[in-house]
Amino acid sequence: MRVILADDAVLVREGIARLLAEHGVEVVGQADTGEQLVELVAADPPDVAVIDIRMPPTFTNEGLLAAQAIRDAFPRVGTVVLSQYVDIEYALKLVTGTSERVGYLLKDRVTDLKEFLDVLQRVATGGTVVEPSLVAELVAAPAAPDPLGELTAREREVLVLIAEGKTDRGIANELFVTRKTVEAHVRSILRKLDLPADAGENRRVHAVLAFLAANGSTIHLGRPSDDEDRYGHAGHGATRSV
Amino acid sequence: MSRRLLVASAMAALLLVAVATTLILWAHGFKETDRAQELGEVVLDAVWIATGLVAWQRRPGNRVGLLMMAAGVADLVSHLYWSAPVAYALVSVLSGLQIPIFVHLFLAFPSGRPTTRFERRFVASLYCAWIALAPVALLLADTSDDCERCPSNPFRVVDSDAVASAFGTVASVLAAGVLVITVVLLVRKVRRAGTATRRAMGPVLLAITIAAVSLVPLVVAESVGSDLSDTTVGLISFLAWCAIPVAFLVGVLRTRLQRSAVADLVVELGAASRPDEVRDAIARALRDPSLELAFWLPANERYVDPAGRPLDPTSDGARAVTVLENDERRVAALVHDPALLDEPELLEAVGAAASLTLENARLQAELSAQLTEVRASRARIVEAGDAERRRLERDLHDGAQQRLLGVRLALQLARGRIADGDGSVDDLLTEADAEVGDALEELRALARGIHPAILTDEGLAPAIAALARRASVPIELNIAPERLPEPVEATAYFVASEALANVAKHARASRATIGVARTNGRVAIEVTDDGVGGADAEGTGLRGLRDRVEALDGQLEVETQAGAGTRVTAVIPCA
Repeated sequence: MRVILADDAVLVREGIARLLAEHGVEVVGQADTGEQLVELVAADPPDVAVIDIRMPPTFTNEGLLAAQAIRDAFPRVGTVVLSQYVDIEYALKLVTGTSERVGYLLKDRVTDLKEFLDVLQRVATGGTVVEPSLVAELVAAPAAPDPLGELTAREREVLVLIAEGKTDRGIANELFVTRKTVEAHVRSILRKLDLPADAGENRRVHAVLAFLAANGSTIHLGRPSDDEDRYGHAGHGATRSV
Repeated sequence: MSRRLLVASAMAALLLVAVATTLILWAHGFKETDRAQELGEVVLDAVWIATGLVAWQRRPGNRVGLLMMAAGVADLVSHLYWSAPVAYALVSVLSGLQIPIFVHLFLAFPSGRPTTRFERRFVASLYCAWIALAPVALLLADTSDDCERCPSNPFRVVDSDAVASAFGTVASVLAAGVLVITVVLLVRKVRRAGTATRRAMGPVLLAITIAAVSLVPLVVAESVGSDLSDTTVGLISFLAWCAIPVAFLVGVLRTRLQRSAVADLVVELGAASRPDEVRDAIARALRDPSLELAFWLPANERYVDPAGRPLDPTSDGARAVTVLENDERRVAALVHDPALLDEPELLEAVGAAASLTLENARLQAELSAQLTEVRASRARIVEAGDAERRRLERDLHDGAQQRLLGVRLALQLARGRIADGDGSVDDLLTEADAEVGDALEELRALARGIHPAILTDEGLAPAIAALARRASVPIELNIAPERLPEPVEATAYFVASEALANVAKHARASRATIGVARTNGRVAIEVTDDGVGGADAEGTGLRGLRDRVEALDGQLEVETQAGAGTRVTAVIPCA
């Protein structure tokens, strides 16, 4: 597998490069900035680009923008975005549209080499990977009313794995059940949460993430004028959740 | 001025008039002039003295009344017709005093003092000239030349007609020069007069014009050899001349009306509390709408306008500056129409009347200038604090966090290299790796608390949503997804964060709401819960929040009732 690394922290970038090299991954390029990364990818497209989200010049979300640019120009190149902090906003931005060949992980994950290699492999072959701790946080967030309340314990386990980007086969392996059982669980979950049942394995990641993001806390993103009205009557319980 | 002095002056004047009248009626014979006309002149002088007395009585502080009396007396003296040589000589010299007195009167009208330094020096030099020349005149003049039966000068020492006529010529030239200078000064005075001075001078100028015009038919008649002085025309002219002192009196009384403007000012100032109201009141009292008021700030050594903005009062041809003092401390400066310099007494009275209120207003102006500065510096402190938080977060991210990650990677490499070796070393490395992992986790939480990256990157709504997901109770969010100015976003975030921390710690709530709405140039952040209430609005957390919000000119309100939940509302201006 051929990989390009992009991170302005040289210590970390070199460390990852050496670890990967020792485990048979070919690191064909290293970049300091998003711009440099896009140039390297254009010159010689790798299987996967591993990108730190914060890079010069603004140190905010250059990695995310570079990943989107690569995905648009080179759909066959997988992108794995690493970050010291994970947040649903970034995850949704990354998996919006074609949620294929993308990964979004806490940067620490690179130190668990076995799992990191697995992530690279899955992304390179068309899969989606979302940081498990983020998914756990979304599922655990207090919600009123809890739309996940209707799910069985087993279904909740399956939901978490769907959100992380696991395929039906991956879920079956993880839970030591047959693929048919997993498919039944997935259909039941999608029905209970009122999500489109016909979404493919990758697109359903986005649907589930968006669902969790919207229901972890009740969010109304209304027009300002609506807000004004709602806000003006807040004192009388108009915004109280039911 | 005592009533006795006034009565005594009146009696003395009456006596003088009686003497003059008696002399004209009984001793006038030696001088071949028209007796009726002489009597008329005495009456005119009596009018000057009487109106001067009234002016003096009504406006004791104004010298115009005294000057009018002096002018009348001086002229009256010149109409004392004693045939005794000594008396005749003294009278003819004394009558020269009329010139300085009349010039003084005209230049001192209506305020009582000549306005400019030149005018004052001019008047003083006229008096000095008379004092210097009178003895000379007494020693040189040939009084027997005045008329056929006029007595000769008993003081005369140089018995030379040539010297006498030379002196006479010099005196005439001097008198002509004085007349020209006086007219020039008067014209300048009229042109530069302020509203108040014009009001006072109007009647005088009108009366003089009428009197001068009334002379025209008499002069014309005389040039063709007829005398109209005993006709109605002559009477009209006489009355017109009598109107001049009356006009002076009216002018003086008009400035007295002006004085009542000072009284009005005192009343108005009682009601004026704001610095700009004080300015308006003074502008009305001085009848100068363009008046500017500048307060002196001793600490900053500069002037500011009533709104607290710096102002530099400078005196040029178009504007004049009068500095007002209270107890010899500079309080304020008036930048006004230079015409008001004609009325130094008015300016002084207005300054005195306004000084206390001005001192008050000056303190207010000083306070608002300081407040403006304090506000700005408080906002700067908060912004500097935010910038520092962002820098800290970035330092942690780029420094400690990356290094620890590097250490973890190195540990992984080490583990890979000794995979076939000693199991205990592998255990140690695993343990070390777990420790570093925990340290990274703690650093991450710390950095997020210092300044969440998502707030900078994505804005308030996602940042608060992330906050809500980690909250202890379900949160209903109602946040418009627009970006706001950085300080507003940061403050709103910390309001939500602190309020949620309180919900978790004290409220025992089952749910909470967070609303952020932008309306009418303000952003309102509201956090409510259904907990037990009783939050301490003066506790350190809420106190710190209040300081933050107020630093942006906002307001923080905490409504909390035992058993009825808590509502924290912050309203921040946001153009």
